[in-house]
Parts: sequence; C-alpha cells; structure tokens
Amino acid sequence: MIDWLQSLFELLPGLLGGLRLTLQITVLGVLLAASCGLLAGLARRSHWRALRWAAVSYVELFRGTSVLVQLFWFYFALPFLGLQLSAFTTAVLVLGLNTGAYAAEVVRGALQAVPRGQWEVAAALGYSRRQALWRVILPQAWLPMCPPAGNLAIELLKNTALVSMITLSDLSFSAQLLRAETLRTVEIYCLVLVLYFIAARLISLAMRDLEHWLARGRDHGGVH
Amino acid sequence: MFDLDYALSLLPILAQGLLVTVQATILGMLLALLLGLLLAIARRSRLRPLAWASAGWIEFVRSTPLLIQLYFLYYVLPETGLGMPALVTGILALGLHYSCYCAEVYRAGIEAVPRGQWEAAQSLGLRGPRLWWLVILPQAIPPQLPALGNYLIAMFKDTPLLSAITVMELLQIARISAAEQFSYLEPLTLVGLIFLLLSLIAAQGVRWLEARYAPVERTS
Amino acid sequence: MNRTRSDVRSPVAELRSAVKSYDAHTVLNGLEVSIAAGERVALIGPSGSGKSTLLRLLMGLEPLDAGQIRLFGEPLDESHRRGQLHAAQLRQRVGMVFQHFHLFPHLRVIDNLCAAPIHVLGQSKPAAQANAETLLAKVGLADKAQAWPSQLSGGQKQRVAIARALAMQPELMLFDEVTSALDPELVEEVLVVLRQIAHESQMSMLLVTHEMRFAAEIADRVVFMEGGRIVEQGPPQQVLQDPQQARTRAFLGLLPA
Repeated sequence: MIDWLQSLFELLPGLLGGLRLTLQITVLGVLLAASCGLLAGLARRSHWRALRWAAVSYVELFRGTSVLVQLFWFYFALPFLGLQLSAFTTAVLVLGLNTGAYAAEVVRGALQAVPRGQWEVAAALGYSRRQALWRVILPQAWLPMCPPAGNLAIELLKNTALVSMITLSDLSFSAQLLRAETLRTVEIYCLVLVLYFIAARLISLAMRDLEHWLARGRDHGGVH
Repeated sequence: MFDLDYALSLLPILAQGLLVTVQATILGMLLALLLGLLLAIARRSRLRPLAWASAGWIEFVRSTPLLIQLYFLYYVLPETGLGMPALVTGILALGLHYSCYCAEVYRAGIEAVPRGQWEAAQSLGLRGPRLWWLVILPQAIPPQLPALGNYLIAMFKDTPLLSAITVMELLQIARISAAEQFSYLEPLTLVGLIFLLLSLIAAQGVRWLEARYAPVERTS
Repeated sequence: MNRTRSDVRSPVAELRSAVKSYDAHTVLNGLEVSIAAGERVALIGPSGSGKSTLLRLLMGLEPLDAGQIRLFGEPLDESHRRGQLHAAQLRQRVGMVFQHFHLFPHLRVIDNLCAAPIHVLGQSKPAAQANAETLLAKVGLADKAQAWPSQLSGGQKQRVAIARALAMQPELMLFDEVTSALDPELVEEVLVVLRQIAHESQMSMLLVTHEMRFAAEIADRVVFMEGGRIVEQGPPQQVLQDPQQARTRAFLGLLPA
C-alpha cells in the first residue's frame, strides 16, 4: 500500500502541468459550448428561415463528424485555406463548437419542456413574444437543462484527451511522455484515469448544486 | 486551393480505410451490446457486491476518456502475454467502453417494463434466463433501439481514435497520404465528408427505428 | 399611465361574424357577441361549444379565421406590423385568468405579481411591490407573499393568479373556468374574490363558468352557447330559471316547458 502511495507521489508532479492545461481547455471549452448552444438553440426557433438553416447546418455538421477529425481538420487543413490557429485556440474552438452543437439540442429540448400555458399566461399579461422568451420561458428552462448539460460538460472533459494528438501537452500527452520515460505503464494510466474520473465527479457535483439552487421552491422531482 | 484531382485520386485508398472503420464499428458494437447486457443484468443482481461493482465499473469507464483506455490496452495487454493486432485491441477498447453506455440503455429499458410483467411471469413459473429471454428483454429492448442506434453512430465517429495505435482506418490513411503529398486539406476534408454522409444516413436509420419502435404518444 | 378611453358607451369587446376552425372542425361559425363597458357576462354551455375559444380569440391566443374583433371600440387588424402593435396595446387593457392557474413556478408569489408590471408596464420595483402587497391583501393572501407557488393549495394558487392579472389594471377581465380544476372545498374562496371584484370595481367581466348559482348572483347577462353559436342570452333570472329554448332547458337539466 505504501508502495502504491509512494509511486503516486513520484508520478503526480509529472502530470500536474498537463492536468492544468486539461482543466483550462475544459473550462474555456464549456463556456464556448454554452454560448454556441444557447445561440443555436434559440436560432432554431427563429422566424427567419436563414437563421434557422444556419443553426441546423451548424448542428448537423458538428454532430455528424468525428471530433478528432474536426480537430485535425482545423489544425492541419485550415492553414491551407489561409487561417493558422495555435493548437490551444484550435482545441478550445473545436471542442466548444462540437459540444455546442449537442448543447443546442439540449437548449431546444428544455425550451419545449416549459409548459405551453406559460407562453399563454405571458401573452395574457402583455408580454411580447420576445419578452416572454427571455423573461418567462428561458428562466424556467435552465432547470431542465442541468442534467444533460452536466453530461455534455463531462463529454467535453473526455474529449480534451484528444488534443494530445495535435501536440498539446495536456494530461494525456503528459501521460504518454511519462510512460516513455519511466515505462511504468499501468501505474501511470491508472493514475490518469483516476484524475479524469475525479474531475468528472467534480463537474457532476457542481451541476447537482446548480440544479438544487435553480429548483428551490419548485416541485422538482429530478433532483436527488 | 482545393485540388480536386488529388482529392479524387484519394478515394480508392480511403475506401480501404473505410472498410476497416466499418469493421471496427460493427465488431465493436457487437461486443458492446453483448457485454452491456451482462453488465446491466449484473447491476440488478441481488448480490450486493456484484451490483455495486458493476455500477462502479460502468460509472468509471463512462467518465474517463476512451483514448486513455485505448492506450492502456495497447501497452498493457502485450505485457501480460496477450499480444494481438492493433485492430483487435481497438475493437476491444471500443467494445468495453461502449458496453457501459449500452448497459445504461438496457437498464432504462428494463426499468420501463411494468412490475406486473415480472409478477405475472413468475406466477406462470418462468424463472431466470427464460424469464429474461421470453418476457423481459422482448419488452425492454425495442423501445431502446433508437438509443442503441445513436451509440452505434457515436462509436462510428470514435473509430478515428484507433489511428493513435496505428490502425489503418480512415483518419490514419488520410494522415499518411497527407504527410506524403504535403497537403492536408483534401484528405481531411474528404474524411470529414465521408463521416458526415454516413452519419446522416445512419441518423435517418435511427429516426426510422424511432418511428417503428418508440413512437412518441401524441397528446392533443 | 395615459390611456385614451374610448366612448364609455361603446362595447369593450366585440366579435362580429367570427369564424374559427381547428383542423377540420369548425368551432365558431359566424358568432356575434358584444360586451358592454362595466358589464358582467357569464358564458355557459357544454364542453366544445366554443366558450373557451371565444375568450382565447379575444385575448389573442388564437388567430381568427374570418370575421372581426373589436376591443374598446377599435377594430383589430393584425395583417401588418403596425396593426399588430396596435392590437397588442389594446390587449394590454384585457386580463385573463386560466383554469390551470399557470403561476410562474420559479418566482415567489410576490414576484409573480410584480413581474409583468415591471417588465411590461415599466413600473419601478418598489411601486410594483407596493401594489402587489395591496392586491395580495385584497385576495386574503398577504401572509403568502414570500411563499413559492408549489407551497400553495389550488384555491390559493388561483387567487394569486387573479391578483397577478389584476396587477396589470385591466378594464376587461376574462375568466376561463377558473374554478373547474379545483377540489370542491376550495372553490368558494375563489368565488369570494370574484364577488369582491364584481362589487368593488367597474371592470367588465366575462366568465366561462359551470357555477350556475354564482353566475346568477353576479352576472348582468347570461349567454348560453352550444355548437359554436349563441342559443340564448339574457338576464340570469330568465336564462337560468325560465329559458326560452329547448336546448337551454336540456343543458340546465330542466323539464321541457
């Protein structure tokens, strides 16, 4: 047991830098994904056909292709069209856009979940359609968004491992490096898996807290 | 900018890569479906340690990156004497990872079967595997086919990860030819389009499954 | 707030030759109805007779297929942007209370009442809150200001819903079967509030209701609808106790004349 703990303390420092980068990309990626998801989810309901089409195309494009292929394309192919982004920017951009496409569906679903009566009562009270959306409907939609949003955040965290393949020194890359140096494969990968697992649990707990706070006063059966 | 001739010349070798991709997807999914069912049943076991262990396993594998799991198998398996071709390792990794997603889908399906079905079946003398096979699974699985279909598509889109352990699937082929010809634009764009086309077709398939097996009740 | 009041004698709401269909089913076919300023009208009839549809058309929740709606003496023409804005302005003077209350679940009771006055009328938060507290006291729920809707009984929720609609100071109030979703013992507390409104204000009221005794009590006119048409209308003593039409008698469970 002491043996295990000792090797843990030996290996951990080599991974910390990578862990920090992973967390940075995750946080920035989640922010971008939330913004894209909200914009695209709202655009899907727009009266203007062009806006709806743009949103649908964005969602279908990023959900229909592989994240890794997207990462490669943005990092290796885009320069051939004149735009060269840093690996970090590419990582945040691609992961944010990719998860954002899935988030758009979550937003759409959550808006649908708000009972129709709320739209009617808002109209009866004099709210315009736009006011009703922002002042009455959306505030009620945050709560049903929480569980799937939490899952998407964890998906983004897992996808950050892929950025090691476009030369970013994230946790996965650090693990590869450390393995090549020390050949302690099992210990390193187990440790790395546990680190990702802990990060995922933290995200889950944070989302659950958010859900609790949004659900205060409400008849909400979904919060355990 | 975009060299159409070069792009078209790539199609033959990309087709070979696609073959490997499809192989990996189908075999990986078969493994995931099988293993997932076992995991789901284990999770419901009355033996608390078994139920607890499988729940923990499912949660752990679902919350950690497939890439790391892939590397783990790729480097560790040979050390334990189980040397196998990279493609097999890849299929194993995909199957193990997605079996945990499938387990949760099965769970949802099983829990949706009304309690009365269990009781009625048991009162007719059906027990164990026969109970599952004749009564529960035929009711649990069809409504979940769309969800399983979606995971098939997800697995398909995860096959490019296998390029990290040198499997000659689509992305790997694209990378190699791109490195040879010094142009990444055409190979990667083509790969992207192939994925897009196939997943759009597959998504239609899932919609068909939805309509057939899990239609949403219309409330006026 | 500066509102132009049209001639007091013109009706607050009118439907002329109203036609409304849902899919293949025609709910209203050439309906004519008019509510005078300060009038209290009870709308009765079997399910599917178009009573709720009438209210929803007035409130703008459904579009009219053919015919005309007039509010406060002015016709509504929503075929273009300016007409839509004009209609919205007129509709702000109309309030509606629904069968299933539809309180904002994510806001406390007091905030439910303040939301629309702040966002739509542009009132300041203190002013809105002061008005809200007065209204809550009027409906007998002053102590529930900080409560959440999920903590209230059905009758309490409906009273809050009524107060919320009143906070917008409407001139015409529409009540769509506001007691139908309540357990019997909770109905009276809502009727008390409705009675209060009828006695203490000059508001025009249009109530779709199954509470015949209540209708007899406060209505100036009772309208019996069936199959999308007005079968009979008149003072409550006449329509409810001695109706002229056979179908009215049948609906009310009275023996044929």
